[in-house]
Amino acid sequence: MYNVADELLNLQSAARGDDIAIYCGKETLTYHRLREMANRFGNVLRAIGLKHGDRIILSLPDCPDTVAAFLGSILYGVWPVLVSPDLSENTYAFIAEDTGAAAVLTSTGSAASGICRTLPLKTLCIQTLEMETLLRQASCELNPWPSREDDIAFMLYSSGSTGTPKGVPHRHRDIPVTADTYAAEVLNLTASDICFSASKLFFAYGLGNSLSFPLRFGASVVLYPSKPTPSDIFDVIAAYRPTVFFAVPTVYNMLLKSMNETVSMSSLRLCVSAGEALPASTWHEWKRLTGLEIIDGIGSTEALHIFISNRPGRVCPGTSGTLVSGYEARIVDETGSPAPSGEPGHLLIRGKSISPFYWNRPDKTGETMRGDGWLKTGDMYILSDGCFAFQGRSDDMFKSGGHWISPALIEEAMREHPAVAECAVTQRKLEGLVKPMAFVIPAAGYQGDITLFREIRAFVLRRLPDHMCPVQIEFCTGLPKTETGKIQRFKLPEKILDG
Amino acid sequence: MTIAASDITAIMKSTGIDPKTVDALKMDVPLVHQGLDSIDMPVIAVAVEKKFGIDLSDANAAQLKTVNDFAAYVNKILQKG
Repeated sequence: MYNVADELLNLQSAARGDDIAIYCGKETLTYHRLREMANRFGNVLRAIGLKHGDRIILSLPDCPDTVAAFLGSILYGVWPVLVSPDLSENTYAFIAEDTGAAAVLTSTGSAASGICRTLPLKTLCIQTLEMETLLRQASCELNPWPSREDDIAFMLYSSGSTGTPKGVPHRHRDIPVTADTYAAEVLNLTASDICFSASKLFFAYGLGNSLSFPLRFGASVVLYPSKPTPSDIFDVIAAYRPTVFFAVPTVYNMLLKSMNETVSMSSLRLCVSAGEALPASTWHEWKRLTGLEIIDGIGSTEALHIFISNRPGRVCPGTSGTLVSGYEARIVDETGSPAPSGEPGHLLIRGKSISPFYWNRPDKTGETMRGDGWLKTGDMYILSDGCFAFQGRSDDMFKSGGHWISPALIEEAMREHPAVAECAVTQRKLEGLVKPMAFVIPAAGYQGDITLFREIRAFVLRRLPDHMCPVQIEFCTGLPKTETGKIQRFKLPEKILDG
Repeated sequence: MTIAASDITAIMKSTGIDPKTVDALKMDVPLVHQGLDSIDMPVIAVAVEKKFGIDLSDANAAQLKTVNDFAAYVNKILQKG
């Protein structure tokens, strides 16, 4: 039998039970107390009638309850499905149906609690009288479910190419694989580290940074429940003195814009970046101002964490670095043959942490996860002086702010505005980072001007997360299309400078 | 041609940022410390690009923190011709 939550909690609670596992605001949680909380959560799931193999959606901010609920669910044999607390009601409804979840754990007043109460699943909210009573009544002892290392332990959601999120199940063994390869070999994480990740637990990247890695090595983690501003990040670093900081390139750029001489990074030994390609200019400027290297790498929800990374002291700025031990990579052309030397090709990856299938999506599983264990990443790469250098995506999707962006999803939201007759969304680079931009044909009677630009942006911001709001909108009279009327996004200009 | 900080603040107002916020700006303090956020910042950069016909695709983010930074950057590019 092998239960990853049991192993993670046992590894530390025996030797380091009184050491601090989690800092969050004024709250601290020892390893011993975390084990107890996780056991209670597991027992609550039993008390409300969940059975082994059921799913529970966790739509929560980063806080100790989230970590305990995640581990407690796995201990009890229920799959936690970690999702963002900031999704739309429609997306929660989709995920609830797609997972067939028996319960959701969220916060009072959240979009998830609103929609899920209308659906046939048990809705629980943290820090309510009901939940506190259930936890108090639950035993702090729990026999872990006797799973095997290849059994599914939990699930994450990745945004798909059509904009429909895809469930990505992961096995018990996947967590120690990412910790024992990337976190051990690249980060050299030890019990004396304090991790702080600006990327949240519901991202595969954040889950490793804030949960699997610190627990695997007996380190501590600082959790920050809301979306941190640059000042919040500097305050957290000053207050808790983390040793390893994790963020996406967009956050590093915002920090650079906010940096002044009063900011101290002296506690940090490593800065880590993933989620999108880190511009070389950001790397150099960060090094100049902080003296610290950013260790950039590439990972994915399917692989659970980073599989190609730079190494401390040997960074090649502007590239994703080299393979992490335990992973194999191939760069292939359209036919699947090795791409000619020096030519960009599709990056395929193989390793023991890769999800075996997409939940309920045999079509996508067939396209992306090949039977021989190779995963099609959808990224185009080139090998440059032994380092993997990102060249773009092989489809219309792109990454901005560490998030997958589906142009179709933004276009759908924009088309709901009465002034938008037709539109097409593409990407452009700004200050070294990729951002969404849009082309709009105004509807009859509307003038494509700055007022309409502001109105459309405000309209999109009410419907979609910040990173999906176009930074530039160009008004035009026509869009490039195929004979069947499909927009040819690749023919849209990358940017228009003359206003 | 040389531009002044006031040219940058005028562009900021044209993008729809609250004129009161813009009028209260200190020219050499990072914009993100003066009420502007990750939604406003790229819009300012794009508006500056379009006004002066310059390209900020690969500009260094750390060089564009304040109003004065933007003005100095634009002047540097314009002088290069």
